Amino acid sequence: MTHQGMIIAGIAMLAAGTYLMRFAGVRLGNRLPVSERTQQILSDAATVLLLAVAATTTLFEGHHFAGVARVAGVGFALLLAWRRAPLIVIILGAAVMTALLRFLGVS
Amino acid sequence: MRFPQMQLLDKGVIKAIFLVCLADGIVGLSYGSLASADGFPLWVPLALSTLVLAGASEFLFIGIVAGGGSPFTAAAAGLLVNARHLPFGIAVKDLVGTGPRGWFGCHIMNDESVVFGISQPQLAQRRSAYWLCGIGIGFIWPVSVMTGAAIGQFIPDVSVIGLDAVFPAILIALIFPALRQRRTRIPATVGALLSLLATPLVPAGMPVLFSLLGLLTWRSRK
Repeated sequence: MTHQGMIIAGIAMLAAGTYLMRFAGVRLGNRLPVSERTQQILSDAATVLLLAVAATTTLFEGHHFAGVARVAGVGFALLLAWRRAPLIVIILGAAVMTALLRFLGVS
Repeated sequence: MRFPQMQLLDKGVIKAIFLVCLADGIVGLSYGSLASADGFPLWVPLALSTLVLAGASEFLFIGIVAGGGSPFTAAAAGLLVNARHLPFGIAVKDLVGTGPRGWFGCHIMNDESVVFGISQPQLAQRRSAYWLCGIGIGFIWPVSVMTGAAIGQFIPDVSVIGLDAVFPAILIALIFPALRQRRTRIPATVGALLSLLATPLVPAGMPVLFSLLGLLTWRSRK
């Protein structure tokens, strides 16, 4: 197979596999029992995953520490969320805090 | 195709979705120009951004192939990063719609559309937020990636404007109300700690899956 052919096959594999996982999740969800307890666990499962995504992308870039500026920006967002600030303020607050620290030379 | 009404959504939520799409657009510009700087022809980022539509796995794919790795290794690594879409699918099964619309509804599933969807109070609003964010990103992502690839030389540095902090921040902001409940907070905190511990040790994508072990601490409590 040519290198271009392999890239096409790789993209097709990634695209088909990703779509299949999205689709299978939905189908599986529709087959699970509808008890209130199951529904609560499933909705909490998404929250658990999303917090894990947030935590790992805050602290890590690949396998390494992401740097103080990003962590401080997300920490500031956490504080704003706790103080029930509007969403826009939280988003902009994180960006501004991180950008400001980097501008000041903190990586 | 009946589109869930936007006016159901809080103005702040619509603005936040717009901002997230904008942020994704800037990341897309940067990704597109990096892909072209790595020597990939235009169709590679185009195919990835429309057919895969999952940023982190696309970066990984491009990075591995550019580094001389096999496209199959790259695809496998990308699939591992995208494995969380299976549990996401279970969580948003009522938001993606049914029939042909549901097929498309599955495709626009990502961290952002899921978090906007599940964080709304009523089902109708959950659907609207999921779709608005999903379609917004599904549109802006390929467009910005192609624009970045066409411009090529100009690589916006997303770290200068702090964009890397925006994505975790929006996730935390939107799940924060759910985390105020002990029932959710305990498994989520345990799960996040497990995934942080696992990150230096296992391939990308797996740490996040480890967090599901946090659900072992789940109890039906307030």
